[in-house]
Amino acid sequence: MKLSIALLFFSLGAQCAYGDVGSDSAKKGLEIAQKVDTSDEGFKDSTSNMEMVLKNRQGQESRRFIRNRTLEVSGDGDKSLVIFDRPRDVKGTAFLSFTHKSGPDDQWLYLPALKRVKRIASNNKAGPFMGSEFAYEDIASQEVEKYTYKFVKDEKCPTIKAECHLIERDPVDEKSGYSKQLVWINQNELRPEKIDFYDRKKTLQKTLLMKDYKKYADKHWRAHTMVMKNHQNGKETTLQFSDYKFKTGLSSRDFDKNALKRIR
Amino acid sequence: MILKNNWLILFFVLLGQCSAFSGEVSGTVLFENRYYYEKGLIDDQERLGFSAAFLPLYTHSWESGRQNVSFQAFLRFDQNDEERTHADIRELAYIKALQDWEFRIGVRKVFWGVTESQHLVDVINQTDFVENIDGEDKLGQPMVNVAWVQDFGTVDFFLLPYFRERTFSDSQSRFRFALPVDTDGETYESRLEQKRVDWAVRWSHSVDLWDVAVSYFSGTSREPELRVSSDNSRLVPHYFLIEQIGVELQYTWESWLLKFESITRDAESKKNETHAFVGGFEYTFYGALGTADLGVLTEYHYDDRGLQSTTGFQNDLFIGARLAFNDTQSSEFLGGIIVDLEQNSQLFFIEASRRLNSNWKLSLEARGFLNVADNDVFFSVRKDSYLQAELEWFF
Repeated sequence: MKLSIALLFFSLGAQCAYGDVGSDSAKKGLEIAQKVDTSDEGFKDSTSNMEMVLKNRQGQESRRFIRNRTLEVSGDGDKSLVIFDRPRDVKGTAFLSFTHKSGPDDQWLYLPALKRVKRIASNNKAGPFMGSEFAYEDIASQEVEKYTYKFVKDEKCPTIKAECHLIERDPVDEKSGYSKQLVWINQNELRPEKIDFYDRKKTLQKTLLMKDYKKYADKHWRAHTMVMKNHQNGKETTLQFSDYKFKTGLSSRDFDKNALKRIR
Repeated sequence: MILKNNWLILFFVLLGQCSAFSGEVSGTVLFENRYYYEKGLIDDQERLGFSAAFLPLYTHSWESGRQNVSFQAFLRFDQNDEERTHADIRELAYIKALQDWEFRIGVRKVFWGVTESQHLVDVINQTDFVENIDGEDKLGQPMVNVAWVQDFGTVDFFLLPYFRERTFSDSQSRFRFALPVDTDGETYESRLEQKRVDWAVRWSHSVDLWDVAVSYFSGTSREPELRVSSDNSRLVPHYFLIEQIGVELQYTWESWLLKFESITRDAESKKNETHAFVGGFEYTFYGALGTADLGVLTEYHYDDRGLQSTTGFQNDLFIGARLAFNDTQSSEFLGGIIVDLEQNSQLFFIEASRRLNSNWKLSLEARGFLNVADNDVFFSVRKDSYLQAELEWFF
């Protein structure tokens, strides 16, 4: 999966559909989002391994190991396949998702014990992914069209020595768990460094820091560490990525219901 | 195939060699304790039973997962039920995927269907009935399966060269019928008996919010008719030849899943055609209780065979609820009741599970029968309601 929170890649799409298009801040915010999206175009497909560390308030940890596969789809949202390796009781479980620029995403779950592929509702976007502090919508492929934008200001990046654009983005889908997100985008590298998530009551709920960026194929920035801190429940989830590979030759056939049944 | 003892030895030898290959070995060991809270209908039926099962899995995949081999064995020991102490090859298969074709050869399990409370169209694998009466456990089926993958969907062709008999509890154990089932004396409509080559074809597709499938099966029915032997001492499973057309539909919209399955079954020797369907919905209240999701399910069952229906669901209503806590331990709860609308017999179940740590999981299960009418399929098991705790270790 393009754990794309990190990536914020939005394809160039219709520029309409934003009520606020007239205002300068909306226009500038959208332009930045589009630039970030365009800068990552052409990765075709990618695979990576992910370790998820869940930490509760008492500091107790539990770990998950996940394999991600993403396929870039021109003209629509990406396709992604997430395969669970651990904890062992969910080993072989897989989650297939077709993201769409508009309308609901298509999602299927593969249950290895029953050999069953189950279509699931995509209305669960605000729910926790694998019991972590990441919601489904946080790890889903991010499309430009899924938000409206406002440029806030330029300032120093909060985590590294660089200049950032601070933009606000508001989810279009009313099923989203967020009222707004504040995103710090590195001006030179066009990649997000930090996101503040505000819940539906407009209070700060979570902060995501994206660290250990590496550049692939001279173009594609990928964060190798992401830390999501929930300010309301004191829990924290860290994602560690490794073995990023691009243009591995995956096709749509590796992202269909037949492929789910082949998961090992 | 049910393994005999020397096959077991061979299996362990094979398993030992697996580690020599560059694949992956994993699996589970299950410990199960069942308590039947009523005295059985016959004296020998125990109220408490221990059982353990072992499910090792070897897999090896290459070419980005486009080719793989897998082997999954199954062994169960049951303290009380000799028939439930059994072994099976759940999977021993090779898969190769090409752009438009996919080849799957060997012993496999194939699931068809969308509904939750009954799997009506699911006809490829035989039910491992001694494992659990819910019908979710299946015996491995030898097959050649070729899938043709096109823009209009996937067409699967199946050749099924060997027939697996349904498993039944022994005559001194729970879930026995009014008479003991003669598991060595089955009869078949086909003179080729187990060696008849059955076949099936299925088209399936996902379009927008719809998931659709239509299937055709021609072969020996997986559901036997239990016939009383001439000396009235036993029930003899008889397997008819059938042709079955199955339809599966699911519509997924916002928090709704609308589901429908139907079958039309022709048994030539019986000169009749039967129809059955199950349909209903699942609605999920996401975040209903903090981060927990609450789902409500309702499904209606109809079978025009009426009381001759082998499934027992001829005019029944299923109502259930699912609770997913979305916590670190993936705690889950599913409970439901199936009510016979004609006779008022009721079948209920509760399934709950929670991960204890990275290697252990605990599951609780209760299944029971209430107000079972004397002409109901479940009449002979009406005292077999049970509570079960299962501890699963993963390696």
